[in-house]
Amino acid sequence: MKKSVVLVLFFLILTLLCGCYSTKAMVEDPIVTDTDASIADKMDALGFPRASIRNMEAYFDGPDWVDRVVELVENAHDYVIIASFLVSECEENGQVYDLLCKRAEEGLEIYFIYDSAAAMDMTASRFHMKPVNRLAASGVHVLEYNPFSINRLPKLAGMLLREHRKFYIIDGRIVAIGGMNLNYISNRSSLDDGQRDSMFCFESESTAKVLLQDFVDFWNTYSWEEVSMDDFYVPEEPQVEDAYQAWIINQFDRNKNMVSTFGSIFYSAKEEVLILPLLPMENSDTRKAISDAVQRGVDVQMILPNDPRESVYRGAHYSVSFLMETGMSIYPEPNTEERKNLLHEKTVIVDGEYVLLGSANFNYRSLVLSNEVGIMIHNPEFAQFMTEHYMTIKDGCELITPEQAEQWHKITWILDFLVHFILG
Amino acid sequence: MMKRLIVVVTVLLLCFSLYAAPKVFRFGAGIGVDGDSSARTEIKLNLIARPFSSDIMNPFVRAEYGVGMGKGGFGLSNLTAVAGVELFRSMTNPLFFTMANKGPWSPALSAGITTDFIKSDLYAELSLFRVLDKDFIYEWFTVFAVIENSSIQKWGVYLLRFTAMF
Repeated sequence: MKKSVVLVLFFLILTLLCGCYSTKAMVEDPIVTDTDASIADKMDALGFPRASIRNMEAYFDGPDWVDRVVELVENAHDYVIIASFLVSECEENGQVYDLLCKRAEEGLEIYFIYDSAAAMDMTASRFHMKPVNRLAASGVHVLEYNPFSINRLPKLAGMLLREHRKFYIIDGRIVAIGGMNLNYISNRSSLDDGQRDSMFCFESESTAKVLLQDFVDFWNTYSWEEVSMDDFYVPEEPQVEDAYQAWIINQFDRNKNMVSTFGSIFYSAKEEVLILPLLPMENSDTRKAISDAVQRGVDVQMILPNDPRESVYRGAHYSVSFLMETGMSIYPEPNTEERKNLLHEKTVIVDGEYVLLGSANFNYRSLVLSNEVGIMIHNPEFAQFMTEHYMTIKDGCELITPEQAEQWHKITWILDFLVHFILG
Repeated sequence: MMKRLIVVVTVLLLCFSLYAAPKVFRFGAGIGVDGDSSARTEIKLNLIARPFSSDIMNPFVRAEYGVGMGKGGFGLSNLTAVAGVELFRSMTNPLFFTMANKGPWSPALSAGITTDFIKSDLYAELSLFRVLDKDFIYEWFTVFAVIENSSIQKWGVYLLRFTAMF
């Protein structure tokens, strides 16, 4: 019997490791690792849909974004689709939930996806949480993704997969993506105790159409209230000269679009990769991709957020030694009063030309264990804007020394690293 | 004994391989706990195939095997194989409070054989408290009977059975 148990466990682990959770494509896919091809060429070759973006707006503070969401929902005529990883009602975003209920009662079709982990929010939001049950009662179509429940024990491995996307689609014309959830910590001002985060809102019928097609597929997979593309009108996209060219990267149901995207960045970059990550805990494939870029002379640099959650801080800082072996430059945020709030932005800027925005953290979990959405924008002007924003955050951060990294590589922090490597 | 172990391992491996299978929700693997009138409790793994998605009389087949204790001591359970139908799917769901998302109530009736590889008997079950997620089947208090020579040899209740669909 013991032999049987060992055999079963062996095959279980083999299935988990070899099946859905590998990042090998980042360093082995010939499209991804071609150092002569541009990011644009790779995005096309990988089949990521092209999109055209107009009137880009950037939001770096929760209350500003909440005001914009209220405006968007108020002015919506036909439908609103919202996906958010963590959702809970609080004083800061109560007006959004009030409005969603009111508009749904008026007949606006509102679809609302959130992750079951919302109930286990371990940020400061946990002191301000009210459930969002009233949405469904008001007629909002609600889907809790992959519910945490003892009933779902037979799909234990699948429980690791979480819905981490944050996006809005309004009337097939306006789209927003970024890092902000609809919860206290994201919607509170970073000048108080909210986190430092970003959302990007733009007009793009082409983006809306692609996200809607994926939404219909995703929604029908998990909800009994089935929908079709015919339910969502998308207007014609006007041809505008100064529109940004972009590619949509939607990762859900275990496709590995983020693996290909990050790999493409590291193997196509010529000069510089600037990363704003959360929880940068990488596996050997990602480290190899970074290392290969550095060896080609690319300046890969990253700001290491100063996470107020102690266990997460220990896990992220423990991994710095591994990252330093790649030759990349790491700038830890100083532990100061103005930086005490979590830096939750997720952005990558490449060679002053490309910007990757979206929900994906730069870590193993976002690469293979989460649904993520991103948009790769090819526009030097926008890249310049985002580089200036990156430099503002980098200001005051000093390049890490090997001694500092060694200091954080404590044996007692291994457990924190392992836990957050998988759980985020 | 060795033959049974091979069967258990094979069943488990099939379950695990399904984790990596494409998501079509036509096949499933699950776990259930039952108790029967012979004072025996068993934990069983099941494999299910449900090729269609009809709202009325939707057919499925299921095989179940596991371990148990009670009368006869600790040991492997009978292998049970059934064919059945989901009688209907109703979004008026009296068990809605048990679910995170809206899903239908879908009672099922099934019948087949149960065997210890020496002797086989008829088996029938009725699952009234049965609700569906797109990717899961949840059942509570399913009643079953083992029938030998036209009389009920024993009966029992599945306290719960949760099946993940792939």
